[in-house]
Amino acid sequence: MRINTNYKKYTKILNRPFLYFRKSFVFRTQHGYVIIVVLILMLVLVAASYFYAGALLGELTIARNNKAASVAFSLAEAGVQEAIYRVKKSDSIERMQFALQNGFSTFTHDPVPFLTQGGYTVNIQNSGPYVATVISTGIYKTGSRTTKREIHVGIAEASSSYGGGAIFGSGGAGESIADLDFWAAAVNIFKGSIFTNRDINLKFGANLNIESAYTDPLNPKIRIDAVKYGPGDSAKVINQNSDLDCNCLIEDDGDEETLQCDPPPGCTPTKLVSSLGMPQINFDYYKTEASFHSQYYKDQNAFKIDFPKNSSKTYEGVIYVDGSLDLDYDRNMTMKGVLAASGSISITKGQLTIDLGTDGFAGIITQRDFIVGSEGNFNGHGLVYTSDRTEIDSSTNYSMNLLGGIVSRRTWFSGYRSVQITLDPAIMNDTLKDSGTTPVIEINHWEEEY
Amino acid sequence: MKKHSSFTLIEVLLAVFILEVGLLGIAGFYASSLKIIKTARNETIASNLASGILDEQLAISYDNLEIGQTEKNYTEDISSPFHDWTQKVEIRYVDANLNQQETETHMKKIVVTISWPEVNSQKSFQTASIKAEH
Amino acid sequence: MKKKFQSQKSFTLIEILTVVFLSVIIVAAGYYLYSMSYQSFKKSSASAEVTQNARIALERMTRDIRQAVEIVTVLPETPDSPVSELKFQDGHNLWPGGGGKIQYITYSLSDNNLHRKISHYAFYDVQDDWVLWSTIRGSGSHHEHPTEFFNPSDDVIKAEKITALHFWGENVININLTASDGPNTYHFETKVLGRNVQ
Repeated sequence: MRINTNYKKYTKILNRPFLYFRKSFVFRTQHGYVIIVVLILMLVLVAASYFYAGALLGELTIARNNKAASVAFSLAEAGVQEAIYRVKKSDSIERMQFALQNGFSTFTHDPVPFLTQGGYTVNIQNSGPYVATVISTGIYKTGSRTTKREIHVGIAEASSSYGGGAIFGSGGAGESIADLDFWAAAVNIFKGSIFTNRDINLKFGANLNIESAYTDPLNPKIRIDAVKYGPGDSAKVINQNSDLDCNCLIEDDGDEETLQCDPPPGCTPTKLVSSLGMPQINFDYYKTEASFHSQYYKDQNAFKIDFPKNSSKTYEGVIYVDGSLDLDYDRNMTMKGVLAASGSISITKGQLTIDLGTDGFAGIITQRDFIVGSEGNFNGHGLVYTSDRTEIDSSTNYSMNLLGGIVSRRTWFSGYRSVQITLDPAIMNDTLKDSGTTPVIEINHWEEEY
Repeated sequence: MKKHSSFTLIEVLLAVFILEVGLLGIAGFYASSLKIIKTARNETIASNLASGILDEQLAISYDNLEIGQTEKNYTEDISSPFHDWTQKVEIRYVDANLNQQETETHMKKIVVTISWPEVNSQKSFQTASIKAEH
Repeated sequence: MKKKFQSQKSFTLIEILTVVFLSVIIVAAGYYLYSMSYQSFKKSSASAEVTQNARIALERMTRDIRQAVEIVTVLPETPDSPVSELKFQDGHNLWPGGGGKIQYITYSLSDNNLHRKISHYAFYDVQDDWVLWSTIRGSGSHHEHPTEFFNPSDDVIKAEKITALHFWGENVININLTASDGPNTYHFETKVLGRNVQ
């Protein structure tokens, strides 16, 4: 048995102990080594790719969220607009709630028909009649993830009639700054009083003189929650007519009884006056009138086409600008009638004089702000009706002289040049007309941080 | 011996094949990853351009928002990196259910779509909002 | 008992050397593959990093500008000579959740970094009273403007690798931004309407 013998010899050799390890080693290298090596290489590649893919996925996710956030925000704004639509609609639940002191309403669209991955939920919470905060949350779905963005916007609608006051400040919409502010200002008010549902603040050596008279329907009540003074500030009220009840400015030292003025004999100071709503004004009437006079402009550029820089121009009747209007580049404008805008009216570097026109009304009316800058000049005879903020800076060359009155949500005087306001109730009433529907205004757009 | 050698050869061939598949896969992965990063960047650019166009539209008063659809190049400036991007703005009346209407409803929807060319396809991004009559 | 061993003749030194040599090559190949993929990863991650900086910069700026109460910087109406710094009154702090104080945010570019600085204005003798930047007090010929105050810690870098930043526009503010780390340069654009400013 030759084979057997060889075999025996063979195994004898292989059976030697020191060869044992090598035997198995050699056995493996020949029989699976390549596969294993390849598998190890693959493992390296897979590991590298795994981390790389992870980073790539991260980048994709960030890009996707970035996109979704942008759309979610736009949808949140859409929600606010629909809230305004509903609150204006005469037969809606939202309108009914909006009229209440503590009204509340809510609605949702999920999804929204024009963008199927998106939607929004809206809450409308009143802080007073016809004043509310809209909280709108927009959502956008990408895959399994939902991105949200939340915004808060105040809305308000003027709902009352004019109750008087050379300066009327309605405050409202629940925000922290809606007072009557006089900073380093010298304001003299004749034949009328001032009224605000919030505070009157004097700072930096402000001087406020009020000489009220019985022609003011509000006269002589002054509603104050607190009047804040500093050293160098002064405020005085002089009542010309001793037959009526009067209020004097009361200093807020915690004691409601401390008086700052000298009440005429028989005058009983009253401290608490009920709040008044923002007077309405008929914007639609003025818009129609402007079109009738061919003076409706779809934006301020259209208006400025015929009003070159550094020039003077006089207008009559009614002008209505859709959007904001800024008088700059030393434009000198005289308006015999009403200048109206759906956006803000401002005087950055220019002059504006208002006066009575042939129609019997005069003034400036805006659905947003009225801002007279330090290089702006404003004077005349008429009503100033500002749905949001009135800011008058009389610090440089000009002092301001107004015969009429200011109706605003919040008013701010700064600058040391004198400001004079003489109340003219007739022009106030003639320009405010019999009100009608006043637009809903948006105030204080605020976004949740992420 | 012969039996053993041929076995090893098959082994090697198989191993090489697996490696080949793996490497090609990785190579393909890298190629498409570059494309993916580019798309992600373009999407970011698109969402910024689109929200900008939407803001421009929101600056216009309700009455002056013209009903209809306008499609044009994002910019006519040929030196701009976005000269081959296109924008589409659609404004329509919507009712209380946000469905499109043909007559005045006192509420308008604004839909902005921005499109751009990529290597083998055309991509787009859409955003929308609403403007109500105040 | 016949023990079966899978037949193998005894190996030689050459065989061992070959195996070792091949192993080294294979490990080298493995390392090469790994480093190639790592480099590729680094390159595209650098590109993604640039884009990410631009994203953050734009998102932060647009959100702040949307809430601005007043834009202080005078912006050119056309893109011909844009400015690279924008200051505006912060609208986020005035209302819900804020303290009601008047503060200003300034975005500017310095050393390819986007800075966001928070500051306020006050008169030196009443520094707790934060006023508008345009407030003037005094009388006659002597009038004073408030000074701007800010903490160095209120000047934060929000994004890096920003090589160009341009603002312009009248009603709607246009923002053009370029982000770059050298080899990768990307342009971004957007427009923002200040909701509290109009």
